[in-house]
Amino acid sequence: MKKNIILLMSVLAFLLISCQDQLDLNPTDKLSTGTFWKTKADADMTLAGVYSKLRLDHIAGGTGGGSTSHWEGLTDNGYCTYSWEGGYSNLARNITPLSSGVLQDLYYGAYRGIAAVNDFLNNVDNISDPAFTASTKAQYKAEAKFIRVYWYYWLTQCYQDVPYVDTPLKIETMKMPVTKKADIVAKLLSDLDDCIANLPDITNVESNGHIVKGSAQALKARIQLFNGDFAGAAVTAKAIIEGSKFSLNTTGNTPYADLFAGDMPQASYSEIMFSTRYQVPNFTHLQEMQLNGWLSVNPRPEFALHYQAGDARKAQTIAYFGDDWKVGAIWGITKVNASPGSTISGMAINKYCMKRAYTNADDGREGAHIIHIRYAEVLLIYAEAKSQSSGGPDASAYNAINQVRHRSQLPDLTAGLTKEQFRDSVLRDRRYEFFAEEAMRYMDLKRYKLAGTLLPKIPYPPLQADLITGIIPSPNASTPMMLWDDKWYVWPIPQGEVDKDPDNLAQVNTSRGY
Amino acid sequence: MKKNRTSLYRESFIPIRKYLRIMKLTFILILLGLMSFASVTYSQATRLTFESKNSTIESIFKQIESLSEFKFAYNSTKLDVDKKISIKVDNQTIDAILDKILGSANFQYQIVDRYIIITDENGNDLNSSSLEQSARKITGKVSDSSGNPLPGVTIVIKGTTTGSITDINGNYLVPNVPENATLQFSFVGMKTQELPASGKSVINVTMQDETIGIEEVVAVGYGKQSRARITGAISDIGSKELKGRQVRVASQALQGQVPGLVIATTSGQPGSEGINMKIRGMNSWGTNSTPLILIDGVPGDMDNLDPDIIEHVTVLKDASSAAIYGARAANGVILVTTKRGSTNKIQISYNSVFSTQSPTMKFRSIQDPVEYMNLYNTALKNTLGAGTKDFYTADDIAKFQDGTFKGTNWNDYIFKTNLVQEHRLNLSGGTENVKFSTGISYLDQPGIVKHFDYNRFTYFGNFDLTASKFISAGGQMSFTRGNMEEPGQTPIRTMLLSMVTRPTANPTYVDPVSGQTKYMNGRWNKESLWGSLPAFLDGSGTRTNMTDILNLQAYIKVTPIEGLEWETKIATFYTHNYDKLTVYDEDAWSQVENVRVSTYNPANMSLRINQPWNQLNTLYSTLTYTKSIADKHSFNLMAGYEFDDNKNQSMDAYRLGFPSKDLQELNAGSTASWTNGGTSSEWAIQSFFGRLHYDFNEKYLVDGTIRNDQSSRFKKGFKAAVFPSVGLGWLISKENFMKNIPWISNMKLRASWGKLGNQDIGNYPYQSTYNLGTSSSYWFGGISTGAVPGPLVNENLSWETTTVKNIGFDLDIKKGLFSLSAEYYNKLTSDILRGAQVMGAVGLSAPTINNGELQNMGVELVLGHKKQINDRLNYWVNANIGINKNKVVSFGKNEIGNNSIIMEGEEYRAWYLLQMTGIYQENDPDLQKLKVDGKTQRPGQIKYEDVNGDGNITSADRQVVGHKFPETTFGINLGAQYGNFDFSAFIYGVEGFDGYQQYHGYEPFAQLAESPNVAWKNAWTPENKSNSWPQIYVVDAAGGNWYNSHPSTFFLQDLSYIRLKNIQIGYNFPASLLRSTPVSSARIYFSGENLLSVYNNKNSFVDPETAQDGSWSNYQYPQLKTYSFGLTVKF
Repeated sequence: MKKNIILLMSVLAFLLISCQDQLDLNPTDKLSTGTFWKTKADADMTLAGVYSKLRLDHIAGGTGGGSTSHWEGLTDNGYCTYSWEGGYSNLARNITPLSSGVLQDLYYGAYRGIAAVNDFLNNVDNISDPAFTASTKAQYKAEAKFIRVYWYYWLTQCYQDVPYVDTPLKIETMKMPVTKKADIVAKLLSDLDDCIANLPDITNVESNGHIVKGSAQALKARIQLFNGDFAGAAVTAKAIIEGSKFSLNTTGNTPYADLFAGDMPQASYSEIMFSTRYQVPNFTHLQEMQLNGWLSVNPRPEFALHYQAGDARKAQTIAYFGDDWKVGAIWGITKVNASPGSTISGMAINKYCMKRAYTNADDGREGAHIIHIRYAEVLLIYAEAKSQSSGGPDASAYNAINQVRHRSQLPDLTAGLTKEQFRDSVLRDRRYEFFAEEAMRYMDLKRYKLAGTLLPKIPYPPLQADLITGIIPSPNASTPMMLWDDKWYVWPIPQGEVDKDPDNLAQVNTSRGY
Repeated sequence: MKKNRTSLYRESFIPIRKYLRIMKLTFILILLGLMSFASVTYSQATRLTFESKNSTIESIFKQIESLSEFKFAYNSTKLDVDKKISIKVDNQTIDAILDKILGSANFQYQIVDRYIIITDENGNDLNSSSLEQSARKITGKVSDSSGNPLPGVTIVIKGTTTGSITDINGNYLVPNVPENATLQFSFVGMKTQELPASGKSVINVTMQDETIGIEEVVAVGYGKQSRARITGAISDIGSKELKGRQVRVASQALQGQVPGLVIATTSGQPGSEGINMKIRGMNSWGTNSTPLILIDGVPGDMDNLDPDIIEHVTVLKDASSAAIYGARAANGVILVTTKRGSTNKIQISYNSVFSTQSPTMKFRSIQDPVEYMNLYNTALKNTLGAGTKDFYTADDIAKFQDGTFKGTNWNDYIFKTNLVQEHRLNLSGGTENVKFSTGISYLDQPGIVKHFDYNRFTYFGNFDLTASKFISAGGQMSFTRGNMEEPGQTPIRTMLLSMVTRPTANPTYVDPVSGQTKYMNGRWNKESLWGSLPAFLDGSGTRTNMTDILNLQAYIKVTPIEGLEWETKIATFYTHNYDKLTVYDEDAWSQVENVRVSTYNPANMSLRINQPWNQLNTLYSTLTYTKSIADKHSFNLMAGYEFDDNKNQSMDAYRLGFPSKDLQELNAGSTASWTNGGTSSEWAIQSFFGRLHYDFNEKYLVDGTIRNDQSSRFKKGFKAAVFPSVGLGWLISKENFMKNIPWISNMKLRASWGKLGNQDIGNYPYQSTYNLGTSSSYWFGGISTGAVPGPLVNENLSWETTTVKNIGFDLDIKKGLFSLSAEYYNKLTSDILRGAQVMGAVGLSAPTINNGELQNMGVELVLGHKKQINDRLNYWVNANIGINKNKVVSFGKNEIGNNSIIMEGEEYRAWYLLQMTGIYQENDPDLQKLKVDGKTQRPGQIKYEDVNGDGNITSADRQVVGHKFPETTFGINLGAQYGNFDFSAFIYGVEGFDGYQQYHGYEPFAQLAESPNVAWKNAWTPENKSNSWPQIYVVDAAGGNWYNSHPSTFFLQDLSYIRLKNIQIGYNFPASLLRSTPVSSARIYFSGENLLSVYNNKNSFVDPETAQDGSWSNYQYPQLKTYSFGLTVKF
C-alpha cells in the first residue's frame, strides 16, 4: 500500500512539474510579431494586407452596408431606399456627430487602412532579405504610401481637418489634435511625388492590379483639382495624357458598360488606372444585387430622364420602366415595373452588372472590380483644369472632353463656350460619366458649393415620373423638399471620437457649427 | 459440515443477464455489469493470508474482522470460542478458512454478504430464540422501511462489544442485557438507531434509509459539507424539485428554484434552446457572464445530460462558497451531482414519457386578407399622401370577401402539434465495496414546424470501488449524441416568413395550363415579390448538426490514516460537432405570370461542413484532514492542486455545384470554387487552493479559503492571482438561551467576504499578432495571401476581480413547518476586462484592458412551509424571490450602442431611447413648436419628450428608460401527497425587465409587404384618437421610415410575466397490487409545462420568455406548451 502511495505521489509530482511549461501558449493560426518581418514574403503578405483594407463598404463594393454608389443618395442624382445600407437616406436629411452609417464607418475604416500602411512602412526596413532588393522595397513602400494618400483623400474631402497619423500609434500617443486640411494635402502631394518617382511606368493591366506610376499621377491630378489648384492639375493630367500609357475603352458594342462588367474584361482595360479588385468566390461584394436587384439606390427622374439625346451611356447605365430587368429575372420578373417593392422610380441601375447570368445561389455576391480612377477622369480633369486655370477652354481642353463624349456617341461639345459655360459642360459630363462611381457628383457639388443652390429645389423623396410619358410632376408648396445646411459641406468628427478626446476635438465640431 | 451462502443479489442475476442480451448495449455497459457480478460475492473475491499459533477462536475471528470486512455473529455459550487452535492460511477464501477453524464440529455457517452467522447443526441461529435462554435477553425483528426483513443488522449493547446480528429473517437475540442498557442498531446505508432496553423483552425496529438525510449534506467545492455548518450562500436543489419538471434540457429544471439564478430559454427549437444563465446579475462587460458548471467536480455542460441522471444541483453564489474555484468563479458556480449506485439491491427502472407540444403563443400578425388589404391601402395613403391610389381596389377586396379568392392563415399553416417520446432504462445497485449506476436514454423530439427535429441518445455509467479501508476508486463515463435538424434557409428566415407572409397569398396554386400544383411565392396578383414559405420549408436545403459529447472521469481515494483522505481525479470533457449545411433553391412560381421565380438547379447547390471539436482535460488532487478535539473543536483542512487545459480545433470545407441534390457529400461537388479552412487555440490554468473549516461546539463556524490561479492567457509575471475568502457562522439555536424555545429547530446567522476572478478574455490577448485569412488577402490576378496587424496589445493585462459580501440568515420552525432563508449581497467587480476606448486614429482594434467597476446588490428570500396532516396527506409550499440592482460604478466615457448606454451611475446597458409621450392630436400646440430632426410633425405621429428643450427632437434627447436585465425573479413551488397520489405545481415570474424590438412585426409593412402586428388595427385615425398607437404607415415606402421609426419607448416592451410553468399529478401503484408481479414499484404521471401565462406586453409578437438580455428576435421559434404522460416502473 505504501508503495502505491509513493508511486502515485511521484506521478503527481511529475505532472506538476510538466504543467508549468503548458501555461506558455502561443497562437498557431496567427503570426506573432516576434517571428515576423524577416523575408520578402513577409513584405508581400503585409502589402496584400494593406490592399485588402480597400474593401471598405463605402468606397468599394459593399457587403450590405452601403457602397461607392450609395453616395448618389446625397446628391441630385439619386435616392437611397434603405437607411440600414450605410445611413445615406438619413444623412440626406440631417448630419450630426451622432449620425450613423458612412459618417462613422468611413472615418474608422480609413484609419484602419492607414494603420496597416503605417505598420508596413514602420517595419519593412527591418527586412534584410537579399531577395528583397532596394528597388522592390522602394516600389512596395510607394504602393503603401499611395494607399495612405488615397485614405487621406477621403478623410480630407469629407471631414476636412483630421488627425494626421503617419506612424503607428499606441494608447499613450493616441490623442492627437487635427491637422489643417491644407497641410495634409501638402503632405499628400509630396507623398505622391515620391510614389511617382518609385512606381513602375506600366499600366494597371500589366501590374495585375498593383498601383503604378499613372495611378499616382491621376490621384495627384484629382487632389489638385479638388483643392482648387487648376494649373497644377492641368500639368499633372497633361503628363499622363502625353505618357500615352492609358486610353479609353472603345472596343465592343457597349464599351462603357463593359468597364464595370466583372473580372475577365475589366482586368484587360487600360482605361482602369486604380481599382479595388474582387473575384468570385474569394473576394465578393453585393454591388449588383444592391443596384440592380434590391434597388437600394434609385436614379432620380430629373437625372435619369435628362440624358442628352443620343448619349449611349443612358442605356448602359439605367434600365427604365419596361426594360429588361437583369437581377429581377431571378425572381421571375423580367421587366422593370413600378409596383411597390420593385422600385420607387420605376428604374434600376445597370452599372456594375456582370455579364454572366445572375443566380440566387451565391447569395448575390459578385466580383466586379470597383473602379476608383479611370482614364476618362484624367481627360475631364484636364479639360476642366486647363480651362479654369486660363481664360477659358483651348483646343486641348475641347479635345479632352470630346474624346470622352465620342465614346458615348455624343457630338463635339459646342465650340466657343465661355469659361463658366465650359466648366458647367464638364460638370455635366462628369455627372453622367461617373454616375454611381466614386462619389463623384457629391464631391463636385461640394467643391463648387452647388449643393446649397441645387438640393433644396428637388423633392425628397423624388416625385415619381409618369412612367410612360416620362413627365416629371412639379413640386407644390406641400411637397417635402430635400434639406440642406451649408455646414454639411464639412462633416463633423464622429461624436464617439470627441467623447474620447474632448480636449483636442470638441472645439473642432463646434467651430463647424455642430 | 455444511455451508450455505446467501447472496443479497442472487435473485437479481438472471434478469440482468437477460436484459443485457436483449439490449446489446455498448461493451462498457457490459463491463460495468460484469463488475457488478464480480462484486456480488465479496466472500468469494476476498482472499486472506495470515498465521495464528495457539490462539483462541475468538481472537482468530477478531483477526479476520480486522483484515477484512467480515463480521462474525455467534453465541459464545454454545460455540467454544476460547478453544485454542493453530492455523495457517495462504490466500484462501473465507469458506476454506472457516472450514479449518470449525473443523468437524457440528456447526454450520451462513455468509450473508459480509456477515458470517454461525449456527448449530440444524441451521438454528446460535443466538435465536430457540436457544436456551439464560439471563435477560431481548429479541425482536428488524425490517426496512418497506417492511422487508433486514438481515445482517448489527445490534450492540452500547458501551460494550457484546451484541448480535440479525439472521436472514431479520430476527435477533441479544443475551445478557443489563437492565439500563441501550441497544444500538446499525446497518450500512441506514440511520443508526439507539433504543433503551429497560423493561422490554421484545424490540422490533424499522430501519430508515440514510438517504433521507441527504439534504443535510450539500456539495461544496471539492467535497461535501453538512448543511448546518455552511457559512456561505449555497442553494441546493434536490431530486424532488428536479423531478417535478418534465424538461428535456437539464438547466430548465433549475429555473425559478434558486433565487438569484436567472435562466431564460430563448427559443423553443428542439436541440437549440439557447439557454442563458446568470447568477446574481450581469457581472462584467466584455467577458462571459455564464456561471462555471461542474459535473461531479469537473467542468462540463449540463444541457447535454439527460436531466434524469442528475441527482442534485448546488449553486454557489457567494465568495465563501465559490472562492475555492478562484479565477473562474466570478459568475458563480453550479455543481451538478449525478446519480450513483447505492447499497440497495439491484434496481432496474424503466421510464417512458410521451408528450405533445404546441406553441405557447402564435405570431400575432394579421391573418385575415381583407383586414390586411384595407390596412395596407390606408397605410399607403398615410405615407404617400391623400391622393395616393388604393393599391387593392374595391373589386380586389370584394373578391376576397365573396370567396372568389381565399387567403391563408400562415400561423395555422406552419404550426402542427408533435409527439415527443422519451425512454430511459437505468440499472443501479451495489454492495458495500462496489456500487454502480448505469443507464441509457433516448429522446425523440420532432419540431412543431416541419423540418425541425431533434433526437438525443445518452449513455452514462459509473462505479465506485472500495478495495479496502485504505483505498477506493471509481470512474464514470457519459456519452451523448444529439442530432438536430433545421431548414437550410435558417430557422429565423423560416419563422420570419411564416410571421409576415401576406394573408392574401397561398402555399400552392394549380397551373391552369399544365394542371400541375406548384409552389406559389408569397404573392397574389400584382403584389410585389416575396419568398415562398412552402418552398423554403420543403426545398431550401437542410442543416444537420450532430454533437457528440464524451465525459470520462476516474478517481482514486486513499485514506492512509484515520481522518486523512487523499483524492485525485482525472477527467476529460470532449465535444465534437459535425455541422452540415446544404442550400439550394426549390422551384417556386409566381402565379401572376405563371413563371418560375426560383429554380432548382443542382449547379447552384452548396454544401458546407464545419467541424469544431474541443477537449478540456482536468486533473485535481486534494488532501483533506478532519479532526475533532475534545468533542468541541472540529477542524476540516483541505489543500489541493488543479490543472486544466483546453484545446479547441475546427475545420471546414465548402463546395458549390452538385450533379443532383441527392448527392450531398463533399466529394460529389464541383472543385471549381471549393474552399476549406481550419484553426485551433488553447488555454491552460493551474491552481493551488486550500480551505480551513473550524467549528466550536457546532455553534461558532469559521471558513477560510484561498486559491492561487495561474493562467496561460496572461503574460509572464501577470499570470498568477490569489483569491481569498472568509465566512463566519453562528448557530444561534444551539446557544443555551435558546434551549427554552424548542419550536425553533434552527436559527443561523452567516456572513462572508471574498474575491473571485474572471479570466475569460480570449486565449492570447497579450500577444501582438497579424491576422491571416481571406479578409486580409488580396487579388492580384491570383490570391495573394495577406497579413494585417491584429489588435493593439496591452501586455500588462491582468485579472478581473469580483469582491462579494454576503450576509445570510436561516430560520427553521418546527423542523420544516415554516422555514426562511434570507441573503443580502453586494458584489463589486473591478479591473473589468474590457475593450479599451481607443481613438479611431489608431486604426487597430481595441486591446483588452483592466478598467471599470460594476456593482450588483440584491436580496434573496426563500420561504418554506410543509405539513403532514395525517399519515395519508401532506403538503408543502416553497417560494423564493431574488431582487438584483445593477450599477455601473466607473467606466469612462459613455458608450452608446444598440439603443442602450453604459453610463456611470446607471444600470449596465440600460435602454437609452427617446421617450414617447403620446400621439400628436390635431389641435396639439406642440405640432408647431416641436420638430423631429428639423421636420414638422403631423397629427397621428409619435410625440417625443424634448429633453434638452431645444424644440427639436434629435438623438440628443435620448434618455435612460428601462432595464435590459431582469430586476426581480420569483418562483413558487407547491405540492401535496395524498395516499398514492401526488401533485406539484411551479409558478415562475419575472419583473422589471424590458425588451426592445423594432422593424419586422413592430413597424407596419416592413419591406413594403409584411403583415403587421394585430395591434395596428387600433392605430390612430382622426376618428380613433389613440394616444398609444400612431397612425399606420408603410415603414419602407418613400418617407415612411422617418417619423415614427426613431428608436423610442414605443418599441420598448415590458417583458414582465407570471407563468404557470408546470403541473404534475402522479399516482403510485400500491405495493399490495404489485406484490404478485416482478414489479417493485410503478408510477404514472401527467405533466403540463407552460400552461398559463400572464404577460404585460400584449403587443409583442412572441413570448416574453424568449428575450435574452432584453433583446430577442421577434420571429424566434416559439416557446412550447407541453402535455406529457409518463410511466416509471421499477423491478
